[in-house]
Amino acid sequence: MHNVVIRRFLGRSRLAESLVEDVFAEHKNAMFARDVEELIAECLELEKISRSAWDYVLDVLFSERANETDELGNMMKMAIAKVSVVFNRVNQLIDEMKARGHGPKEVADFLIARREIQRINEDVAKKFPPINEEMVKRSLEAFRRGEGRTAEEMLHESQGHGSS
Amino acid sequence: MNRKVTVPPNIGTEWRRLGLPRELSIAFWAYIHNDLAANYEKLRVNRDQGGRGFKHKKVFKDKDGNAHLFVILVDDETSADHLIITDLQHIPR
Repeated sequence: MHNVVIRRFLGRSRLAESLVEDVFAEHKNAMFARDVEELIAECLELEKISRSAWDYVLDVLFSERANETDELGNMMKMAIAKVSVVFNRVNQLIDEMKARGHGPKEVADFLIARREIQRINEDVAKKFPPINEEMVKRSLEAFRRGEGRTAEEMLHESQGHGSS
Repeated sequence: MNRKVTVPPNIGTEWRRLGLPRELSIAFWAYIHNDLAANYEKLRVNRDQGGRGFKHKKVFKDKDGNAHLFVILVDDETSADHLIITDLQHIPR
């Protein structure tokens, strides 16, 4: 079971996704402007929760528990991708609202939050990179050719005693 | 008897390309030399989902206190006598 920060993040990202789809489905109604403003408020909350969740994951990743983070990383990738879609959809709704002559409140804050979500999304990808398949292939080919050094030789090289 | 840790040339090249401080380099390779094979039974449980061995993550701090995460993929299936480091990634915080 993951901690409250992560569970809250996952739950709120699912809720935001559901809310934004509802507004998209019914966005001709008279409550459109009010709904978009509510969504903006939800996004501002979601950005804070996303940051808390990512800070938590980073703390675990850069600790003695680093080996426990693969599942956390996968969850974070999926959830932040979902949140990014939510922010993009809300941005579309804001554009539509502006086109109808309304200026929603807190748009500037929303845009700052959206940039933060993009940053987290990029950071998640950097901190949980995929395996380098080409590197793995070349490593095994070299091993099969009998090439390679021991870890001790690499240590000696680091200490300045080995060849490079 | 412990398996022999093998570092293919491309992994060595990648390591040098990172250009990490000497103390970090020594800490990392000392850990790989002393602990990887010795703790193999404990570490091997973190299997790679692609069936390429096991993944291991280890954090070191440099002299300024900055955390550096290293992720290695270790092939323990190609040879019963070796642990082959097949991928290496350095992720600064």
